[in-house]
Amino acid sequence: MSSIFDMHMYLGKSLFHKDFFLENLQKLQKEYSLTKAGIIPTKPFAYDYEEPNKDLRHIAQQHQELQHILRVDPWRNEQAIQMVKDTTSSVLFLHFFEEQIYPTNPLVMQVVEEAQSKNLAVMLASGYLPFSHSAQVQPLVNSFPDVRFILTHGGQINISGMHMAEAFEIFRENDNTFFETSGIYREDYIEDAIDKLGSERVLFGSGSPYYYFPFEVRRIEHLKTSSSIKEKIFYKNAHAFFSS
Amino acid sequence: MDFDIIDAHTHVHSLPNHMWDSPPERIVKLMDEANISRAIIMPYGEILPEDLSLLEYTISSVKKYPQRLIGFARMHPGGGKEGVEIFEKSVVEDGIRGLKFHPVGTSIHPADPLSVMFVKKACELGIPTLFHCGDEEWTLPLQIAKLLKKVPEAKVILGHMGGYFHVEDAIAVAKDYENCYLETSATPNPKIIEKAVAELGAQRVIFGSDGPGCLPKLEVEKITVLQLDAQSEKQIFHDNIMQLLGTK
Repeated sequence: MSSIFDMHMYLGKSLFHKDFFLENLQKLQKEYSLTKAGIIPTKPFAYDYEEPNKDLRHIAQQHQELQHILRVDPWRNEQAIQMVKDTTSSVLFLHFFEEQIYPTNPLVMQVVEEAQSKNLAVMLASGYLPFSHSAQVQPLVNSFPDVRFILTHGGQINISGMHMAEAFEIFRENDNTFFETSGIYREDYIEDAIDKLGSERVLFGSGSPYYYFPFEVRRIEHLKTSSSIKEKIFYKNAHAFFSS
Repeated sequence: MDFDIIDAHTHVHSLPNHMWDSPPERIVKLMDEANISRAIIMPYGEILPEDLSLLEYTISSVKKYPQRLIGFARMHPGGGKEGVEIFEKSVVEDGIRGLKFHPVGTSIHPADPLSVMFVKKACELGIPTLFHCGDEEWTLPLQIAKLLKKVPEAKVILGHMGGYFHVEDAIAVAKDYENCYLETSATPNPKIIEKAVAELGAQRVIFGSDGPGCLPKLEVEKITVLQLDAQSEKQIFHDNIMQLLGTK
């Protein structure tokens, strides 16, 4: 089995009762070839990411195979900007739906401006109506052509694929965007991304614990594409992403 | 597996040069890859009395593969009484075995009198109604529950079992209405299917793939990855839908 670099895992006690801890992740490491992972704080009961980010940074320091991804709440304007200034992480994560803020809000723009100044990549939890439909995310992405954006779920999570075309437009028009695979219900959408965007822009993520890691792996294994491209999706692209 | 896998939700529709082009040959090939014996087919669009081409396409697809495909009529409730007559004729004369509603495509509430009229006819004919049941307006499980309240005898299948965010509601609705079944296609997390089986019993969960959009082989794995007992798998993959269709 190919090595796996999972770009999209949440750790911590979750306000939404989606608890997932280091031991859960380590269990997956034992059962699968999960060699590296990007770890993001779950939304905490305290609605404050300062401690969860500290915890994950500490975990990442103890476990070289884990990369802390900084999560902030743009509503906490000064704190959020300060956390971006201070971070040693190379990726910032924003979840508009869980923070209940629109991507076009000036507070979001300020946080991304700060991320840009530090050359951070930005991962956007995308496709969640009414806060992160691709049409809502697109203006933010367009405003920062020099920032590398990862859009989770290929930018859309509509069960009928109604937002696929609009989501795909973002990737097609912005070379600085990367397509993350968790929870995508149509495999041909991922295949399309490989064909039309280039396989180097497709990154494996499981979205654990919101999605089921073993099944998310099978999504990629079932793609009608070569084993070398699957290797790129599973881990080589992520390594390149973090090393550039 | 010592039983035939029946796929309760697939599509046929002629859309040349479009990624969603789904001639019957496409779904049959995918069924073969997934070891699926038979599949229920329906088009992507609604059937109105003014244009019966999608109904004819469904019927002709079944005629092409009578041992493999089973037709459901995807009716537009706006067709009214004339639409109901067409639907009835398709069942009685052309072998259609169920009704499909996709309220996103019609913007007509599941419990609207127009919808009720069709569902009551389906009851009278002894056949099930498959709803698209996801995260969009008009398709929420609790909206479909209002139809079940009006027609409690209806055999209703909640296709996609509530999509990404409404599966808990779908399970709750199925608890309230014993004729309500959850169909597994497209909903992305197998663990929520496991929860449905635990709370409702495997006799209330039906396998569907939503192929060819979703890959049937992977959709089958969405069930097998749960490692349910053999009897539960048989119920989900075969028994439940066959019972609803009146076939053993």
